[in-house]
Amino acid sequence: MLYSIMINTRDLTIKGTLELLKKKEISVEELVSSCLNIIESKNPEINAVLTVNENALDEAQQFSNLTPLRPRLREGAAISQFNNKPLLGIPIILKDAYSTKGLRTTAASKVLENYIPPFDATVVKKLKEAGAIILGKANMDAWAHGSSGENSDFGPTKNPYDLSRTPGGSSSGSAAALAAGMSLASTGTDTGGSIRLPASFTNLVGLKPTYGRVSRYGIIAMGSSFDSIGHFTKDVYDNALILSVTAGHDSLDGTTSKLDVPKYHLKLETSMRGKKIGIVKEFTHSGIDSKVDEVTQKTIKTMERLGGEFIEVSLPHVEYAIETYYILVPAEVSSNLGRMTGTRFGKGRELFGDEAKRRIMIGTYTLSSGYYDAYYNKALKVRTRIKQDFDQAFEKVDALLCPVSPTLPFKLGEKANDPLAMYLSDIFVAPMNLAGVPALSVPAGSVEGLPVGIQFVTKQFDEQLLYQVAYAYEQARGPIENLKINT
Amino acid sequence: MSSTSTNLSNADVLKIAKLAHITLKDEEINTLATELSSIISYIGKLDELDTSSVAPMNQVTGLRNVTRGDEITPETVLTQEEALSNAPQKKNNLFEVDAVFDND
Repeated sequence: MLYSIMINTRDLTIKGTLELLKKKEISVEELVSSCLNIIESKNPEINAVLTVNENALDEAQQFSNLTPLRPRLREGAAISQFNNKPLLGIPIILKDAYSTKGLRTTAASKVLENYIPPFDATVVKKLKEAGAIILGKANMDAWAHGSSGENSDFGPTKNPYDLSRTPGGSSSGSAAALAAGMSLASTGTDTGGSIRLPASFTNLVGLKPTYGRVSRYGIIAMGSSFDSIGHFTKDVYDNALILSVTAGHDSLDGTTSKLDVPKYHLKLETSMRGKKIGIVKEFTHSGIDSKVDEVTQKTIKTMERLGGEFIEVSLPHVEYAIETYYILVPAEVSSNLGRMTGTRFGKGRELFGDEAKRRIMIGTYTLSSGYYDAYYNKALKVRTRIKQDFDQAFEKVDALLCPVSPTLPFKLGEKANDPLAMYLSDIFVAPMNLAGVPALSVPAGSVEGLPVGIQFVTKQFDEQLLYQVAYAYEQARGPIENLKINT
Repeated sequence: MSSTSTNLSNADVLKIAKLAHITLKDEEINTLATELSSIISYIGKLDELDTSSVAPMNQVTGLRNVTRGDEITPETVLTQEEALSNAPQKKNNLFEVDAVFDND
């Protein structure tokens, strides 16, 4: 590598890094080079990254006039560059469902093993314009079908906190890469928990934005009425900063909202006194690991100390969420993957893996003549009920606090041969996708050396309040003990 | 649909696979019959809910009739070369596909 200085990227936030860059204590090249070094040394073990952007270091050099190597640029000019580019020089790894012009994009499927997109997804364009450096593409469950990363056609990703366990999925590589210090942020997609579950399993902050808050254009589609385009960071501030860049209307995605995009990261501080926080009655049932539940209870106490008032709310139809989800999403999957014909791009359908085949076939069955009303249309009606449940809850409370996963990060292989057991990993996260509401997974504690997250949820398009509640919690929580990266 | 369990036969699995343009290996058929039966029985639980007075939800944030002008946006239009750049088979700068109809 070109630079001998190794920066400890594992402990750096974006905010802290931007300060170091502004003060010229580090350079963008050193930063990018440090991340690339970690990818090179740790990826063989973790399998988080499928493709490295070989031009990353060259791209970093566009900012070399800001750095200690060439200290010629006037102070004022340098600061204005940082103002125009809120992610200047920040190394980011993208889930391999994000189309990247000229950079291989596989969705972790052999079908797209050699696919090189001729265009950038809208979000990729926005991140680049904000100054981010794309380091590479992250492993995932193929087509984002899964909760553990084990459905990748390129091998599972390991959890950096315990290499025998899953980092969660489907955005498995994005979470593991960031936790291991391979970048300072990473992106994901959340159709039924695919950002929040891995964030919880790897001690990261993971956002599922409101459906339509962030453009889906150029993101390889899974369930188009669910797909939410979010990201992973180490803390709440960084997460809000990235959403300020990625959110907004896009004429290329008709479902994006025209609502203004606030600078979420500039309005994080607010009092929790008198804020009403809902505990979901249906989520307190047995089946949740008691040690995970202890972390939830501790989080409630912390929020109460800040002045939050807890109220029990009922979402009576969420007990049907997984059933509803596994009718609607496979139906949309079977339709979206219909375009994979090996004619315009990609290879043939014989290369679909087991889970893709299962989902395509379930969707084909429920949409087929004679079954449509019984399954698909029925599920659309239950989706209405679930959305109404959330609407009614948010008449009583400002936010919900829920667990993310019913269990600790599980062992690789533990659920791999039981599709239904795997589907139930998403029992506390999939309902939010059915209701279209935003939700944030935030690190909350550790059990037996493994990370445990907590989930905050607000009503549609209230990401600002979501971040405020999570920020207040994060400030009060204090450092999380007994966690160590084992690689 | 009834809330009793669904049992797909191997013939059912092959019919679905044909509709989905999925080719299955012999050894996959039995496994898929078991797995798909168990998943379809599971999702059939929705049958116990009365939804006769509920409207189906097709757009979760309430958008309706989103339209745009019928205009070409040059920055999002691929050149012929770009559009063909990933094609496995091409001929005369076009996608080449297998014949759909037999000659006889």
